[in-house]
Amino acid sequence: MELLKLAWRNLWRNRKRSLIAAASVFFGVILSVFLTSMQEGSFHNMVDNMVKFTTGYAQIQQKDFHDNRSINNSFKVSAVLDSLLNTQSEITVYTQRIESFALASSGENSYGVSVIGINPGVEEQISGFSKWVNQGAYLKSGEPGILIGESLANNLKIELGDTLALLGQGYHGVQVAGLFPVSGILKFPVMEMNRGIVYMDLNRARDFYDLPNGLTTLVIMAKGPEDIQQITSSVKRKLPEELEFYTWEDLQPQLVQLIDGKRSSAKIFKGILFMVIGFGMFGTVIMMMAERIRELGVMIAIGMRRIRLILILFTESLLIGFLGVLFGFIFSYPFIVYLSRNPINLTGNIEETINQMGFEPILEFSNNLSIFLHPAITIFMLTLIISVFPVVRIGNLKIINALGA
Amino acid sequence: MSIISIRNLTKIYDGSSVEVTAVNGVNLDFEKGEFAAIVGPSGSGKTTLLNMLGGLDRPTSGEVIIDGQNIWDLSSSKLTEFRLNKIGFVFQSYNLIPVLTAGENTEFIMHLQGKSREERNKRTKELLDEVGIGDRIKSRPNKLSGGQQQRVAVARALASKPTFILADEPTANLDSKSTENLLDIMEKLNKEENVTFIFSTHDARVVNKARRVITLVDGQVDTDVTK
Repeated sequence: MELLKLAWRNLWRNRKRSLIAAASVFFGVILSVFLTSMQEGSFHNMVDNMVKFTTGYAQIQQKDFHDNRSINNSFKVSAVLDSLLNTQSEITVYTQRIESFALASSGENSYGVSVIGINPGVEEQISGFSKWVNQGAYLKSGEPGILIGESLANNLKIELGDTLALLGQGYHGVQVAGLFPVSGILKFPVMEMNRGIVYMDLNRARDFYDLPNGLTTLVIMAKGPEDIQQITSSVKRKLPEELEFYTWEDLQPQLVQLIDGKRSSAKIFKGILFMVIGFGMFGTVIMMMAERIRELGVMIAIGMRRIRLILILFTESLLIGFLGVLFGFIFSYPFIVYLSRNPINLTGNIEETINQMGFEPILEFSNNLSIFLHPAITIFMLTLIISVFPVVRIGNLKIINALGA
Repeated sequence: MSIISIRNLTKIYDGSSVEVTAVNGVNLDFEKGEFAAIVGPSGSGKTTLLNMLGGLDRPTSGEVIIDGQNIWDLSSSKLTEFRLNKIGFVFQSYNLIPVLTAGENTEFIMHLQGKSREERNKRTKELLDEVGIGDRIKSRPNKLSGGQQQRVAVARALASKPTFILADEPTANLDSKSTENLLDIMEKLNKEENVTFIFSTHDARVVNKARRVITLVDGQVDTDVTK
C-alpha cells in the first residue's frame, strides 16, 4: 500500500473540492505562463529592436574606449579575431564601426556631433537602417556622402546636397578636417539622435580620422539575447588582453533597468496571484484535515508514525499542485509555442505608434523553459509552506481527542 | 504468568472548575489467551482504562506493564511502534480507512510493520476468510454492512499478530445477528490463535461470552469474576 496510492485516493474522496483546488492552480499557471511569455516576448522584441538600432548584442572595444571614447583607443581586427568570430555559430553577423566626435559647421553655425562610420551594407542587413532616411538616399560604400539628422540639418540650415564641414581630432591627436556632401536627411523617432549624429561610410571615416583599417567598435549580432551568454563565454576569454568584450546589458544599462523594473512589477502581480492560489490550496488542506481528524487519530493509534501521516498529507497537497501545473502546461504549451512562432501583428493606432518608434509592430511571445519552470517551482514552494500546517497539526494531535472527534 | 500488569493506575481529568477522577488506583493482571470484559455503568472509567492500557491516553499515575515493559516509560515514537506490534484495536464505530478496500485495510498494519507483499497478501486472505468475508476483499467500507466492517476491523487488529486486542464497545453499533456472528468469530480466534481479547462493553451478550468479567464502579474495580 504505497503512500502515493493512499494520497491519490484521499484526493478523490471529495472530488469536487479537489478539482476546484486543482483548477485554481490550473488557471493560475495559465495566467502566469501567458503573462510571462508575453512579457518576456515583448522584452525580447524591445531588446532586439534597441540593439539593432544602437549597440548590437555585444561589442568588442579597445579596453580603454568604454571610459574614454577617443579615436586613439581604437584597434584593428586581426586574422585571429576574425577567425574566432567566424567560428561562433551563435553570431549571425558582425560589423566594424568608428565612433568619434567632430565639430560640424555650415555657414556661421557650428555644433558638436558624434560621427559614426558604418559599413552601409551590413548595417542595412542588421537594422534596415535606410528606413530612417527621410530625404535623399542611404549611404553607399566608397561614396563620400553623409547622413545627418533632421534637427541637425535645421540647426545648421543646410539641405540635401549641401556640404558640411567637419573638424575633429584624428588618430594620435592630428587635427583633421573634411567637407562632406549631405546625401540624406534622417528622421529618427528619438529626437536626441536627430540632433547630434552624422553617419558616413566606414572607409570615409577612416580617411577622415586618419585611421587606416582601424575601428573603435566591433558590433556583434546574434539571433536573440539568449545567445549572448554562449557568445560571451566562447569569445571573451579568448580575446587579446588589449580588447574588452561588452554585452548589450553592459552597454545599455538604462534598458536593463527598464526591463528589471517591469519584471519587478510583474513579480508583484504574480506574487498576489500565487498568494490567492496558495490560500485556496491552504483552505483545501485545512478542510481535508478537519474532516479526517478522527481517521488520522485512528491511523496513529494503530501504529502509523506521525511523519508518515504528514508525508501523506504533503503528497496530497503536492498532487493537487501537480495536477494543476500539469494540465496548465498541457493547455498552455501548444498556444505558447504557436504564438512564439507566429507573433500577433498589431494594427491600427498601436501599429502606427510602434512603427514611428522604429520597432516592429508585433506582440511577441517567448517559449523559454523558465516560463514553465517558475510557476512549477512556485507551486512546489507553496505546497511546502502549506505543509507546515499539517506538520504542526499532526505533531500536536492528541489521539484521544482525535478519536472522539 | 501475566502478559499485562496494571499497577495503581489513576487518571484524573483536570476540568475548568473541578477535578474528575476517571480511573482510581486500578490494579489488574491479564494472562495470555484471556477473553475478558470490562463492564460498568457510563462514566465508570471503562474506556479511559482501555485507552491507558492501549497507550493512547497517558495516566496521571501508575504503570501499565506489557511483556515486561512499562509502556508509559516509552517515547512517543517508541510507543507508536509498540502499539503497532503488540496491540490490536477494535473501535466502536469500526474506524476503517474509507479509501482502502477490506483487503487493504487488513493489510495496512502489516505494511506499516514492513512485511513483504507476499506475506501481507497471504495473511490478509487468511484473516478475511477466518472472519467470513473473504469474498469481500476488494470492497470498500461504504459497500459493507456494519457487521462486515467490524469483522474487517477484527481482521485488521489481528493482522499484526499482537499480544492482545482491545475492543472498545465493539458491538455497540451492531444488530443482534451481527453481534452474535462477531462474538463467535472473536471467541473462535481467541481459542484457536490464543489471542487475548479485552473488551469494554455494556452488551449482555458480550458479558455472557466473556470468561472473565471485571466490573468498574467510579473508576475502581468493584468485582473481578472468572467464570
